[in-house]
Amino acid sequence: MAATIARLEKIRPESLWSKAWKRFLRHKLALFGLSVLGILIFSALAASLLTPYSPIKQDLRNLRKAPTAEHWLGTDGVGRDILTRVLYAGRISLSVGLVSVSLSGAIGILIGVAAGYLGGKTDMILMRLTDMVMTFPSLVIIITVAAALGPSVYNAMLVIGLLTWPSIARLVRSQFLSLRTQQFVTAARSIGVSNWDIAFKHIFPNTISAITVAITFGMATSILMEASLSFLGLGVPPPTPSWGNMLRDAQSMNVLEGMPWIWLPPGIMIALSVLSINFIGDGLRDALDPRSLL
Amino acid sequence: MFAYFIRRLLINIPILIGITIIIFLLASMMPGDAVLAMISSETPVSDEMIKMRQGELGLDLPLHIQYLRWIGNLAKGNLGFSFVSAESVSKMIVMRIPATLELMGVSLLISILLGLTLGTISAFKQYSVLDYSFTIFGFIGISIPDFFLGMILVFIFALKLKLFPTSGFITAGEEFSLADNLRHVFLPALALALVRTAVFMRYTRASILEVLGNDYVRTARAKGLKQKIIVLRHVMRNALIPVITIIGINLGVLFAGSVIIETIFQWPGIGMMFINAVTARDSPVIMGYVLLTSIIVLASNLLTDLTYSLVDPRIRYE
Repeated sequence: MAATIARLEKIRPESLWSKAWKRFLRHKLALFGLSVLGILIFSALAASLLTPYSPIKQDLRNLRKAPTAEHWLGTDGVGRDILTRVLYAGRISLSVGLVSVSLSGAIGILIGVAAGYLGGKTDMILMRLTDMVMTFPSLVIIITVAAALGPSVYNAMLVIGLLTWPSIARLVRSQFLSLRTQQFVTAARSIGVSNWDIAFKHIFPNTISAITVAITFGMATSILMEASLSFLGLGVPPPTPSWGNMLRDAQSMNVLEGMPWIWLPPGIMIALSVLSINFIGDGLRDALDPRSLL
Repeated sequence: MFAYFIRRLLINIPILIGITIIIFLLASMMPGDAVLAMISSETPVSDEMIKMRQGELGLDLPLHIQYLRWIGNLAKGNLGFSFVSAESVSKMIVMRIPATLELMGVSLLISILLGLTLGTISAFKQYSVLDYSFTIFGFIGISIPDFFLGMILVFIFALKLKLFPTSGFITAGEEFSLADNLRHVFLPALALALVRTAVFMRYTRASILEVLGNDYVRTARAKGLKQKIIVLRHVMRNALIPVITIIGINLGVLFAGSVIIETIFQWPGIGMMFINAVTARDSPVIMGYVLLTSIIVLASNLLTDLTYSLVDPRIRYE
């Protein structure tokens, strides 16, 4: 008897999420991305334990030293350890990416839900607004706004978040447009569920997989934008290291030609983290595709 | 068709007005103004002189009046004058735009040729080693910041191998020659091209695979048509339609996306002009540039829609 129950419990149908997770684990590139990103996040968080140096304190006896046993990746123009700075910069660059994509996700979801669920005039006005923000050449506007607000970590997060939401808004809206005519919505409405609950408790959960994928790719874009901004001196202000502002040193031909240890590591970190996130996004897209779950 | 064109055009008018308002507000938010930017810290200037100069430039008027003045001038084709050099902004743009267009053109050519070729190979050899390597190359392409790629290219091809110059439009002090100029444009164009090569490649691959799954391709095969004819007449013609859209949309993006590359390579286009203006808080130049790029993005989206409807007769507009 007990054995039968145990066997019955075993054949309990899998949830959609565990199926998706299994599909994700089969995606080799996504697994690679997840591991690399995991290592990057860990080493950024544990930076103070991993290196004995300060990311900010200058050491004028060790200027622009090539890699040695003490400084694995050498030192920069004011004697700071490159490895240390690259690890600490990971904190800044990754959190700017995360915060700005959360901001753009929140705005995009709210506008998308309002436009897609309410329809009519609201939809028309919100979509024109979305078109307008989309028409802005985003990097150019981000540079302009960042210049107007002045360089700071928070301004970088704000600017990137405020200008990258249109694609998420459009995605959520189109999902809502097709979902709101479904029978479960009519059923909910007929028993008197409020509009807010229908939108967020009944329809919204069905759009989560698409939004997850969009937000993952959005995070990759945000990290690239922060790097561009900081590289131009409009993002994270020195002496705080970010991968983008560390690349500024390579604007001097001497550094570019003779001291690749100064500019290669931060550039490789940007590319590696963005690549990992893109791989994860690709894996999520395959794993969460509703057609492949059936 | 004509009615559709007109409607599409009209939709853009409110968007354009919204854009001008936002651009104007942004520029007025910039800390400091032209007068303050021109003052050097060494020569003392009285507050009265600053006020006077600000008055001459119209900087003391209420915001909405300044906006209307700007719009009124825009309508006359006058983008204002640079706070820094007192040059006419439209003249500055006209002088620098050919360099940007050259960079864009060469870069677009590289990415279309490479992207379409790699994408086609990838699609016809689906799941082969080649396909997988191209896929990974594509991911790397969209993940490397273009300015970092630019540095790597300069490091390898200009500084180490000495095959190309590190920066500039022509060799300083020499007469203009096309060969010399093309040698200068190659590295920045390549740095800009990688992202788009990856994007075009992915779209070409996906689009060809979709067409290959269609019934009419199977019918063509069943009829015993030669592979070459099927590929050229049935597959490629249909598969390239969505690719045209992507190329069109990227025109606008590319135009605005070259700012950092132009700055790194000291390419004397409007992108470098814009970054210099941002550094100097030269708001008339900033406004002129942002307005121009926004219009170009709008126009290239519009053109893309129209081309799309011309090439694909299945698209109908009521």
